[in-house]
Amino acid sequence: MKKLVTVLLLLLAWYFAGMNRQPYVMAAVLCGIIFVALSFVLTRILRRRLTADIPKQKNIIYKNTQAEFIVTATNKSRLPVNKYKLTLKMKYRGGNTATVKKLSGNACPKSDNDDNSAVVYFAAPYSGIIDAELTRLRVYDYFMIFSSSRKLRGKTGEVAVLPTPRKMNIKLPPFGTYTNEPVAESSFDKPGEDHSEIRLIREYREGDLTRHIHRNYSAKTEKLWVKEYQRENDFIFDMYIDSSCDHPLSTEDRDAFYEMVSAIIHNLMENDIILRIHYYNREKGGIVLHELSDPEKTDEFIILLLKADSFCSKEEFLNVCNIAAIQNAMILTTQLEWSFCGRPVYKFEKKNVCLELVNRYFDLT
Amino acid sequence: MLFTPEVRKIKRKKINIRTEKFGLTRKQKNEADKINRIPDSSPVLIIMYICGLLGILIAIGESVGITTSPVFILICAGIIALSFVLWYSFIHQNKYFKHVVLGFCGLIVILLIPGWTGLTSAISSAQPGELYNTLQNLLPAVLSLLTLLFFYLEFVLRRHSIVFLLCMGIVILGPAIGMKAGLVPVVMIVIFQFGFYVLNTNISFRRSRLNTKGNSKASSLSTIVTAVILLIAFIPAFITEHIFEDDIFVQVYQADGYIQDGINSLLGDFSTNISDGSVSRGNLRQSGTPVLDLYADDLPENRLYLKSFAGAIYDGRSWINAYETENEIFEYFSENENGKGSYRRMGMVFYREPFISGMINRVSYDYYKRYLSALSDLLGIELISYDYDYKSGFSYCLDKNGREVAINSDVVNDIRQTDYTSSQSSSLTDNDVPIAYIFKEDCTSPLYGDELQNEIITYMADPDKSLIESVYYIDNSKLPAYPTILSNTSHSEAVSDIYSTFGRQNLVYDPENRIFDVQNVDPASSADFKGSNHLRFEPKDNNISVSCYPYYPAAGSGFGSLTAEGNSASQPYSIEYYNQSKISMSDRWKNVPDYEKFINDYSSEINERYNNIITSHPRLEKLCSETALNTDNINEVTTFILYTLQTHAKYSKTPGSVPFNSDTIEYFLFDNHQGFCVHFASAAALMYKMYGIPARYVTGYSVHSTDFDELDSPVTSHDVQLNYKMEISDKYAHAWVEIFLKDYGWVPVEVTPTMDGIMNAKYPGFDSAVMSNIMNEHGWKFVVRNKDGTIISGSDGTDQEFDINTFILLVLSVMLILFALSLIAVFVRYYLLITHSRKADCRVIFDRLIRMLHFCGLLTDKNGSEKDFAVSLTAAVPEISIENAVRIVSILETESFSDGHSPPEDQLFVREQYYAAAEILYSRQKWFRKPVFRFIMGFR
Repeated sequence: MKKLVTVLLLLLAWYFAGMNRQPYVMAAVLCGIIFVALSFVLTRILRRRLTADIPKQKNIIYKNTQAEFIVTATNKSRLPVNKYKLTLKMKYRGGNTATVKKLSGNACPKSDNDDNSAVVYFAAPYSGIIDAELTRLRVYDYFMIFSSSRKLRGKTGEVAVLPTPRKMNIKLPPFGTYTNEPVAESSFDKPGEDHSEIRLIREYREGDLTRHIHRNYSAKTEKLWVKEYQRENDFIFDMYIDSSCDHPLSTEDRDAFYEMVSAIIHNLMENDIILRIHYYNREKGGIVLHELSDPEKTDEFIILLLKADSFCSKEEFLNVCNIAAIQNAMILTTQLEWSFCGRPVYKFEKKNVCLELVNRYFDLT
Repeated sequence: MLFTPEVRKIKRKKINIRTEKFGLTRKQKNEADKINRIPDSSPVLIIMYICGLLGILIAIGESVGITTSPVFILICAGIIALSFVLWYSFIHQNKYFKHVVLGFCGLIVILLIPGWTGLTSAISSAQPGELYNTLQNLLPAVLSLLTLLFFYLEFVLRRHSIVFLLCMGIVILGPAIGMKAGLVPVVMIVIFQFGFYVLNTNISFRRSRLNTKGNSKASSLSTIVTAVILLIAFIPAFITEHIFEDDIFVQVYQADGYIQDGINSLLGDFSTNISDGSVSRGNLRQSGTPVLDLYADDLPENRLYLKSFAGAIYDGRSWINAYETENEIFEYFSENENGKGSYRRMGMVFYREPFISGMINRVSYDYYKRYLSALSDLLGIELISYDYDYKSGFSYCLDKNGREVAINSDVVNDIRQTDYTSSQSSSLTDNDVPIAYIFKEDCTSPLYGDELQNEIITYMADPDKSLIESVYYIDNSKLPAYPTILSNTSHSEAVSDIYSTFGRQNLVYDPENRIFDVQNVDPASSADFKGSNHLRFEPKDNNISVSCYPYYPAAGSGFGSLTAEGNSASQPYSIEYYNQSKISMSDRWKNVPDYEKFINDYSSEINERYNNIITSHPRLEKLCSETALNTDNINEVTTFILYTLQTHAKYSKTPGSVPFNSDTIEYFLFDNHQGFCVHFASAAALMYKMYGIPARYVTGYSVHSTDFDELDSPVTSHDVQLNYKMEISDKYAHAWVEIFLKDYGWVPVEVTPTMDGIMNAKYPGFDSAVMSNIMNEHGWKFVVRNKDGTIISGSDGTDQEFDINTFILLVLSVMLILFALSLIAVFVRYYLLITHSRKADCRVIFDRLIRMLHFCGLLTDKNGSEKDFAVSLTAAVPEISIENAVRIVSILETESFSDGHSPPEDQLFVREQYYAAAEILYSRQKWFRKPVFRFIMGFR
């Protein structure tokens, strides 16, 4: 439309300039034609010199807040870019529907990212991973008559949306009752080092006792490592996250599942429990064990779970799973079923999972 | 209340949902809007605004002609200062902004009141000059109002589209009221238009962004880049326009022509404007549509003027047909009491006049029958047939002596062509058509029977009859007059006799025998009428009615008449004419009784009637009154007119439209200085009149012998073999001037210069030699073409005005050429330097290294011969290690103290080090020094 209007205006000016014999106006019309032609070329030049990206950043939010994506544009040209438009595609990982946003901006010549950054907000009503991808960059000329676009590849970003923490009423069985297997030794525990009481060796963190520093190992590796001792009264649970499903799960289904898993793990961890969580990881090609002893690290595990491509078919899951071990463990399924030692604890309803998690009383004894 | 609270709640919820979906909360949106509402404080905005405002002010000032006036400059300065104050108070959201606006309004009112009072009194006094002065007094108020309006639209409302259209309207439609923007205002307005558009569109789409960081700076930079690109683009555009100016404008007019043709064909309008006398207020459009096929027996020696329309009086828009003036003259001549009283006019001649023929058509058959009967009685002839011979155009009768005589059949033809059986004719009474129109002008009541017969006898007995024919001959505005009766011819001989004798006009009437006779003159021996030519016109399209005829037609020519093969101008017709240069005009009238008397009477009448100027042309009148000429010497007047036309205007088919409030001729001569034949002829005719010389404005076709094509198979018409043919289209349409010369009648004067500005006027007694003498006498310098085609007098340029636009164009062209040449020189030098450095020895490369360091401001106190140079070089360019620096110095020293060159590996080493240093130093340079470093100095 703008092109048509421009052409019409130029024609009109050309006609009147000619009919009224206005040489300077005619020169202006010719100037306009040259300008339009230059504009066409300019879009091609500017397009090559402009790049856009979503810088990598740690981005974790809780459900029902807004996800933020910082989009930056870099103009390497010596000319300013009067207008560019970026197409940003955002969707929940595994979801079917995507939200497309058009971002426009302008850029100074030789500008860095800070000058041309924009924050894009995306409402996060569900837990999961939100993937954002810059798909197309369109550059306009100064008069915004012409535009030129190119596809962007690999310009992606992601935000982990954690379920909202919820307080549950869970009655646990007495300590020591349900230890199925000995605690796995850390890979750092070498045989013959007489560290039978050491549960694992990890990197030093602020607040750790200095006497727990593993001096020999630290001297070898030039890093500080600390010894973590096994508690005598640890209550160890084996938890299997059965993420198998017969049909692809919707974003809502996943959200309900994550809500349930997150709430149960959080509440169990508050009771000073060590959780040995078994979940399916497609990348690793089987069931992965994650031991969770620090309640503060629960969110980290949830993020791991969200990012892991953990959903699989029933058969796939059964093939890689130790059926005998499952019988005595806590199982959480995508059908929102919670069972413990082969006994069903509760089956949540998808729509009311949040309410049920908070309002119901769960007895595991 | 449109919505109930519940509905509003739902709507609000929906809005929230939508907002949520879009990703922005209401609060964030409001914040974004708030940011967008903040006035843009970029100084580029106000610079652009003032640029556009000044452009418009200068355009208005130019149109009024006060650009250089100190008052105008003061007004401009004041308006700019006020704009700054407005802008400053606006961008700072100053509480005084309202006060500033109110103060501005107050100023406008103060400026408006006295101007308005003057305007009302000027309108009531109806004095154009006073009105103009009052409008000038109103200018400051109008300009201030415009400033405020533009500011409000641009800054407060941010509606650049309105200002865009307003500016465009002013520039494009301004010429309609005589406001043509010059180079400076056009450039300023264009930059403002585009620049502000870029800024404004940028501001408008900020709403879709979430952050505005850097936007303003990028917008301003974009606007500046746009302005620079426009300025650069304007140079080639302006030069292209100036070089191909006429071609470009012709293209526009051609396009307009196609549109007009399309509209006309839709409306069924096929009329041509060649014979309506209107003076074009626009461009000359030539569609090239063929109008006539013109056949000739021989090629014309000179330019052949085919006349179609003659105008006597200019009414400001068009020329009034000269027939009316001519008829007034002859009517006056035929008045016994007030007029000359000794002239009679023959009715049958008049029936060809357009307005008379309209009357004739209303004549009933009875009248003609009665008339012819009376004529037959009078002459004693018996009408034997109404059928006329198409070849000759005559009917044949027997006189009382039994001789066969030919009667002009046009009368009979008229009777035959008119549908007298219609109800209209049957309802006619004798009183409807005064017989005077047919027979005698000074007859106030219809004549019947004996009375009519007596009148005819009286007329026929008038010895001036041949003089009347002569008058028609002189008056070329009229079509050839045909004598009523030709005696002494037999039926079979009629045609040949007509050809040979009718040009002489020497019919005599024998009162005793009451017969007309032709003087016994041998046509072959008559020197007067040698060298006649024949033309045949065949209209192309019956829808286009065009009739034209050459000068000096053979009056009474039997070769054919306008209605020889039909009764309308759309039918083919043929005319015999004489070449002016081949006929002896002085001998021509020696046999004509009372010729001198008639010429004197006629001259005095045309002096009185043709010099009546009813329109006001103050500037042209002033020019003529300031140049005193001997008006008895018509050649001097002609020379001055040609001089004025050439020095004031140039020929252009696309002079543009004349403003509504301007007189076409004055605008052409004094403002636009461009025009085509219509304007040149109109101006010349008016100037002749102002010097008291009767002149006519004439339109028709102008053809040259080269326009004809020889026919492979000649066409024969009326026993004349026509060997040449050409197609006349509106491309041959032309306008010229006629002046009255004794013995020659009305002769054409070519006043339009050729495309290269050379005058070619000549008429009996006036040619380039005469013109040259007069020019020398008066010191007029202009270009005239000699008889042999050479130019005999060149303009020395002393009368030419200094054209600032041409000067600017010249400067721009020179700048562009110099720039282009500089670029070429730089690149050639760069190429040579690079090529040379690839083959140069170590000393040359080292020399360039030193120069490069000096250019970069490094080691300026060293020339490479110092002992610590290697250390200094490493310090200046750390990328060159001390070992390499030492080796470079060592290689150089070796080469300097040896006869030959260094080994190739050493040369390669020094060259590589040089390239490495050049690369590093280049990267250190600022952006504006990099092109100099690379291309001009050729270091890299």
